[in-house]
Amino acid sequence: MTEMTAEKTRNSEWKKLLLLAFVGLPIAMFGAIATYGLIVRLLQIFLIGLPGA
Amino acid sequence: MKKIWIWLRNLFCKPAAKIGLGVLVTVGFIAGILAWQGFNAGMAATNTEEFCVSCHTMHQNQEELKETVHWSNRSGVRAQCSDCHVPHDFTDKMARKIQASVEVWSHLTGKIDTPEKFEANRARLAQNEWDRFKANGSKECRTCHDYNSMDFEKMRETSREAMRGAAERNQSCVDCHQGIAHKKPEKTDARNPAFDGLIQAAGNESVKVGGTYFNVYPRELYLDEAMSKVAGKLEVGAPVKVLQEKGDAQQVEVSAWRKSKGFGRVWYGHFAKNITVATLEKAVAQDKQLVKIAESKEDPNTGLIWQKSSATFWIKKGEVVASTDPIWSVAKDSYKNSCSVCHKQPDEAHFDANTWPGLFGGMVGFTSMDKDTQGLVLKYLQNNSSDFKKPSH
Repeated sequence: MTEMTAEKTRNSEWKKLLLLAFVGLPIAMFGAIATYGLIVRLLQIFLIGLPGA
Repeated sequence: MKKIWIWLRNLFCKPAAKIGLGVLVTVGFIAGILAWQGFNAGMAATNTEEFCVSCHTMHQNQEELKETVHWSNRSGVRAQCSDCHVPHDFTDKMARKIQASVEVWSHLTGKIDTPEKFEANRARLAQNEWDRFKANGSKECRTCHDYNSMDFEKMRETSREAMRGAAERNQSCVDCHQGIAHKKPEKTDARNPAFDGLIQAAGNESVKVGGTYFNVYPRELYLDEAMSKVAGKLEVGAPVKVLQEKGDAQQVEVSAWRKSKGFGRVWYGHFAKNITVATLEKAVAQDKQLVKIAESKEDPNTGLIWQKSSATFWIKKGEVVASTDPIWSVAKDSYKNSCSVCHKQPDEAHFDANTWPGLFGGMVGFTSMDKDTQGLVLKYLQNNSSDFKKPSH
């Protein structure tokens, strides 16, 4: 591996790391929670009724 | 598609060649903390009053709250919108937030985007919240108000017994305390669906001329068979004698008691009992050709002279039944459901016919009965009062 490609790999890995950690995964988390909420809400409407005590 | 899949697989499965594992974990850890913080901050921001009231629709609702003890009180504890309207548990809260996004949507699309439109929907929206509180036993109220921490001795005497009973039953707060934070919806003129059953039963009734029947729904009395001249109003449960039927109309004889004092507009079912069966127009009540007086009697309690009167009117066909039983059974259900929510409803025969109107009038404001149902239940109570039944105790 030449000096140049090693440098390239390092840059690309940092880019991926930061994008994944600060953009990709937070969006995924928000999406997952929203989906969870939506599923529970739909269940409430159609199956289990409003939450009890 | 396949490219994305391969890219993702490489991203997650191919080990990093140039960044240390510790650095990766540390960056992930920090990002996790920040993301979770950010999420919670977002949740908290959408739970603030400023956020709720930022929709113009909600301004008026906050103004209503400002009038109440939940806004300002001597101990300085304030309940803001989300304290009552957003569940506190994570799962229920997330589901409620999703539901709330529908509400934001209906604001943005203009379905409900002004206080006027909110007002038009208030009854339905209030019912949604009442249903939610009913299902979870007013859980959000009880974050602050706990039956176990209540000192019943410090309560007003009038509240004490009601609250003790509620605590014993572990009752949902909003069962009784409706309209404590916002204006209660105006009672609608929409007919209680229970009347539909009665009207259907009346439609199936085969009416025989000469028989006595009972009116199932408050409605107009007419002077003519074309039903164009209104003579007054016939109350629910009022007995009428059917004289003849012509087309859509029915000629009936109404016999009842009235007081000789005044115009004699209000007709009562029994001597000296204030149970109205009909209210006539002034000119009609004074018409000596129409109203026949059979006898006069003095009520020893009041000194008023009561006249046994009768008159014939026309009514719309198909709204009478042969027995009061179905009418009273609807009334009894309403009475039980509406009154026993807050307290044990008194036996019908616990009071007499002339006591019930005052008592009922004082309490009915706490219920959600519509006007016709109120009239029906009061008539049921009066007709089954101690004047007509031996009290059970």
